[in-house]
Amino acid sequence: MAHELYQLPVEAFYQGTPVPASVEQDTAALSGPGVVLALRARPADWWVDARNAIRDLLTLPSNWDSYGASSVAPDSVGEALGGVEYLSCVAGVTLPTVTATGEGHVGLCWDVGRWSLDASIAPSGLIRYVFLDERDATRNQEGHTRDYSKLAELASSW
Amino acid sequence: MTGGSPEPDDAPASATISSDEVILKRLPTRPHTVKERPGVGLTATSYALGPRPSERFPSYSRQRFTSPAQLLELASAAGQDVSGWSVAAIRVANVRQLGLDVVSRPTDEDPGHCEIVPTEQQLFTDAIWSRLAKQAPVVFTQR
Repeated sequence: MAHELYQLPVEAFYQGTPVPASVEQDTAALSGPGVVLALRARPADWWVDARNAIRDLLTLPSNWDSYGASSVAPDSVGEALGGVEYLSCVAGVTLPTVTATGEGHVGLCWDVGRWSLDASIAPSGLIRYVFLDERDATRNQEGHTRDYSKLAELASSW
Repeated sequence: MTGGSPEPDDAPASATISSDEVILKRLPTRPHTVKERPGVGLTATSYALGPRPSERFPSYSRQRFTSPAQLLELASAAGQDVSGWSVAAIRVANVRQLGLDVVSRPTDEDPGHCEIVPTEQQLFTDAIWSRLAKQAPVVFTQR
């Protein structure tokens, strides 16, 4: 059974003693350096809703927003399905709002009040993201990655 | 959505649009273009606000000239089924606070048509639309 842990700095598990090199390597592979993500044994219940919402994007015609938005690229949907299934297995990550960008990419939005995370997924798999923390601007980030553990790290913030 | 060039010199003076004005954006029902934000309420998502592939700058309408209902009627007249669509409102002051500007670009169909434009100080970035979305409450929904 998976532990329902939220992300913690890896040092939190080794207070007062050096972090073993093997642990650092493992966690770096799983997420960013110094961050541990707890994985569930199976996807969270919200995965089904997210999957259906992502698939539904394929039915959008071009100009679905009346301002000239593109229809959603099937490859973007395919990339998002794999990525969001992974995110649904990370403890602490909640159901995002699934939307589309004007360019025809899948968009994912989280907002828990203290922080928000917007991410768009291109057909190539490139993820563009913006993380805004209302209380601590030093945590704000804007960038791109192909690594969903980066999104998991941000979307499971506390 | 990074990019966008600052306004050319012959652009209409933005001073003609007061910072007290409100600009509007249509939000379709599919996909989710609105989001419930804790402590804020129902607002637009960031991806509903930026420029589209055919646009240099994203289109909005000035509430002073075009009501939310009229804004949806424009889309309906163009063939869209706007049942359940919403309209988000943004204060021009909030746009300018982020370093962008709003310029009037009236069209035959919409005398209130305007655009959000970048400035010498601030180009379009994804973070800009994320910040603006938090200040874009839904003010009207078509029944």
